[in-house]
Amino acid sequence: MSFQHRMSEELGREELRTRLGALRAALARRDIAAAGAVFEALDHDLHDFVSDDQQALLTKMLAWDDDDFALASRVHALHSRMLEAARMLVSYSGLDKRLDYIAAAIAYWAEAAKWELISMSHEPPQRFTQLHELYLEAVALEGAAHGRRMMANGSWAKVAIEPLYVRALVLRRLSGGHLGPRQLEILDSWLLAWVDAMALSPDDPAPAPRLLVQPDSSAGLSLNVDPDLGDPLFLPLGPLKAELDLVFDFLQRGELFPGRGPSTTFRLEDHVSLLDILHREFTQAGAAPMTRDARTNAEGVEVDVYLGLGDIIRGGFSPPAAPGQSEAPTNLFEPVTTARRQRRFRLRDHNDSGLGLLAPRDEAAALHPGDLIGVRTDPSAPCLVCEVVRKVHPADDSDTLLGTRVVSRNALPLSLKRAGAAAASAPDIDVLYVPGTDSSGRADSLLVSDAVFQSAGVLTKHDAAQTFRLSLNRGRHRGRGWVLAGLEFLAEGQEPAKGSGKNPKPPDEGLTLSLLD
Amino acid sequence: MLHRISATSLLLLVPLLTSAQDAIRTVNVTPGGGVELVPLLVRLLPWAPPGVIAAAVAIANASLLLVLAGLGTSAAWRAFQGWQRSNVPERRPAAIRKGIRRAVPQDKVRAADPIRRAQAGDDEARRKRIRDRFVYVRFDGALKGIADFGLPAKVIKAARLYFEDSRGDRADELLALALKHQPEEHAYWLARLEIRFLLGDCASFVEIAEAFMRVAPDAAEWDEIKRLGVRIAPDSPLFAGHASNAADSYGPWPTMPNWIQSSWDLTAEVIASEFHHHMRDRIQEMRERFAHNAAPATL
Repeated sequence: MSFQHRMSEELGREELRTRLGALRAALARRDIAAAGAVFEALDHDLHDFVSDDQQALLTKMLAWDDDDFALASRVHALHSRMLEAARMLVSYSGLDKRLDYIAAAIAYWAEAAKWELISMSHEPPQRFTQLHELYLEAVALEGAAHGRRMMANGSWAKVAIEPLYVRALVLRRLSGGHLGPRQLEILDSWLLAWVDAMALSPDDPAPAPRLLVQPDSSAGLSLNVDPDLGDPLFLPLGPLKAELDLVFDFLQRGELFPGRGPSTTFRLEDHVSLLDILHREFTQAGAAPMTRDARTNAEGVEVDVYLGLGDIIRGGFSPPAAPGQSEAPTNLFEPVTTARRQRRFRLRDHNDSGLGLLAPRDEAAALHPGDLIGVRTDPSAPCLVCEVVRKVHPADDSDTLLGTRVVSRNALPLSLKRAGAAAASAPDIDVLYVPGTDSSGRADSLLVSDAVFQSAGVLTKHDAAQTFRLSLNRGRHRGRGWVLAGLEFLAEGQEPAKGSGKNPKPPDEGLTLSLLD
Repeated sequence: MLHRISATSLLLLVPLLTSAQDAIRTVNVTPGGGVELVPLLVRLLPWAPPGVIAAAVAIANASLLLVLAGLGTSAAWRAFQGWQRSNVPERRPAAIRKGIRRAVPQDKVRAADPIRRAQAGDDEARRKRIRDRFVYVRFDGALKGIADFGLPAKVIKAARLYFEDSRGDRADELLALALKHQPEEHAYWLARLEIRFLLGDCASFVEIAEAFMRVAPDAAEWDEIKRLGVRIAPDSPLFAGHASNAADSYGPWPTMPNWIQSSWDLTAEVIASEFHHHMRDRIQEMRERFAHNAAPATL
C-alpha cells in the first residue's frame, strides 16, 4: 500500500470519527435537526468510507489475523452505531422524516447482523424485537412500501421497507453459522437484487414452500406458527426459487449474478456452493423436517483435533504424543518449525452423523464451514475425519461452537507416488482412503487435496500379491481445498476413458500415480 | 508527394538566392534581422519597371510559402513515420521477454484466481471462462468446460456416475445443460429418458419424451422409448398406441436399452471389490496396532 493511499485512508477514518462524534453530540443534546442532517450526510457517504475495507477483508484468501478481525469489528461497530442513531431519530423525529429513518434503521440492522457474524463480534447479538418494532411502526404509518435510496450492488437504488425487512430476516436465518463471510456477502447482494420477490402476505401459501414471521415474537423466520403469538406473516419461497433459477441462467451465460457489485469479484466456487444451500432452503422449507439422531452429551471432554488434510494425515493416524512432547526433527536440515503444538477442543455432544465441538475463539477464527478437521475422540484409535458445517459464536463470549459432519470413521492414510515418466522425480502424494458403506467397493473414495484432484489421472497400487490401477473420476463431495473423489478401477494397460467425441483430448502424461506400501 | 514538390522548388530558388547574397550586404537590415525585399529587388534588377518588381515580390512570397509548406509537410511526415515505428512491437531477446513476464505487477499475479483472471479479459472471453469454470465446479470436475458437451460419451458417463451415486437430479441437470448446447444430440435425450425411467419419475419421463418428439419425431429409438413409456406412463397419450406384451412387463429385458452406457464388462467391479477388501484388512491391522499402543507401520 502506498504512503499516499495510507494517508488517504487515515484522513478518511479521521473524517469518519469526526462525523460520528458530531452525530453523537447532536443526539446527546437532543438537537434532532442537526443530528438528522449529520446522519443523512453520513448515511449517504458511508459506503465510500467502508467499502474498501470491507472488500479487502472479504477478498483476502489467507486466514485473518488480529488486525483483520479488529477491522471487521470496527465495521460491525459502525453499522451498530448507525442503527442506534437511526432508532433514536425514529423516536424523536417528526412524521415527515420518520419513515426514512425506519428504513435506514432496518437496513443497518441487517448490515450489523451480517458483520456481527463475519467479525465474530463479542457484542450482544442483534435483537429481533428491534427489527419487528421498526417494521410494525412502518406498517402503522402505512409506509411499508416507502422507499429508501441506498447503495445496492455497486449502484444507487430505491428499496422499500418491506423487502428491507425480509432481507434482514432471510440474512439472519441463513447466517446461522452455515455460511462463510464471502457467502454471506454474496447472499446479501442476491437478496438486494431480489427485492421484487420478497413480499409478505397474511395468507398461507402452503403446501407451497414458505417461511413465516410473527412480528410480536422475539424470533426471526420459522417454519411453524406459535399459537400463543399474534397472526403470522408468510414469505412464499416460490418467487425466491424462481429468482434463484435466474442465478443458474446467469452462470450458464458466463455472468456472475447480479452482474455488478463487490460480490462479483469473489471466487466462483463461493457462488456455486451458495446455490446448493439456497436451493435446499427454498425447496424444502415447509416439508417434514429431517429426523436427526439424538445427541449424546459429552460434557466437554477434551479431544485432539487436526486442522486440514495434511495435518490429519500427519497426526491423526499416529499414536498421540505425550503431554509436553513435541515432534523432533528427523534430520538436521528439517526446520524446527515442524514441531507441532497439539490442538485440543472440547467435545460438546455427538451422534452417529456428527460431533459438536467447542473451540477457543482464536483457534476457531480460521475455521469456516467446508473445512476438514480430524477429531480423535478415543486415544487408542485413529481420528475421525469430519467436515465443519456450522460455526456459531455464543453471546457470552465463551468458546465457539463448531458443528461437524462425520466424513469417515474408518479412513486410512495412503502415500501415493506418480508412475510413468514423471514418477522418479515426483514427490509422494498423501491421500486418505475412505471406505464406502457397502462391500462392493463402488462407493469407496479417496480424500485428496483440490490440486491433486485436478491433476491426477491414474493411480496404481503395487502390492506383494496384486497391482491396483485406478483413477479419480468424479468428485462426490467438495469442501474448502479438498475433494472426496470417486474411484474407477482399470485393468492392466487400460487408460481412463476420455470420451469418444469429435475432438478427444490426448491423455494427460506424467499424472500416473503409484501407491506405495 | 507534396513535400517532394516543395523540396524541388527550394532547389530552383538556390541560384537566385546565391546571386542575391552580395546584394543583401548593401541593403538595409531590419531590427528583427530580416531584409527589406523591395530595395533588394531594385538593387538586383535596376532595369526592371515597377510592375516587374511587384511580380517578383509576389513570386518570392509564393515561393517562400511553398518552401515553408514543404518543410512543414516533411516534418509531419517524419513525425508520422516515427509514430508508426513506435507502434510496432520491438523484438527483444527471449530471455528479456521472460524477465518482463516475471516482473508483472502484483495485480497480475493475483490473476491466478480464475474469477479475477476472467475479469481481466474482454467480455466474451471472460464469459467463456466463467461458463467453463461453472461447468467444472458445478459438476465436480467431471467436465473441464463447455467444449466437453461435444463429447457425448464423457457427459453421459458423468451423468451415469451421478445416478449411481444416488444423485439423479444432478445427472438430469447435467444432461439438460448438455442439451442446451447440443440440442440435436439424441444420445443426451435418450440418456435423460433412461435415467428418469430408472428413477421411476413418470411425469419427467413423459415431459422429456414429448420434448424429444418435437425435436426428432422420426428417431429410430422411438420403439424403445414407447416400450419404456407404456410401462412407466401407460395413460400418456404419447404411448397410447404402443402394444404391450407380457415379455415387456415381466422379468429381465434382453433388449433393454443401454443409453447411459453402463459397462457390460465387470472387471472394474471385481477389482473394486478386491481393493475394498484389501483396504478393509489394512484398516483392521491399523486399529489393532492402535489398540496395542504401537505405531502403525508406514502405509
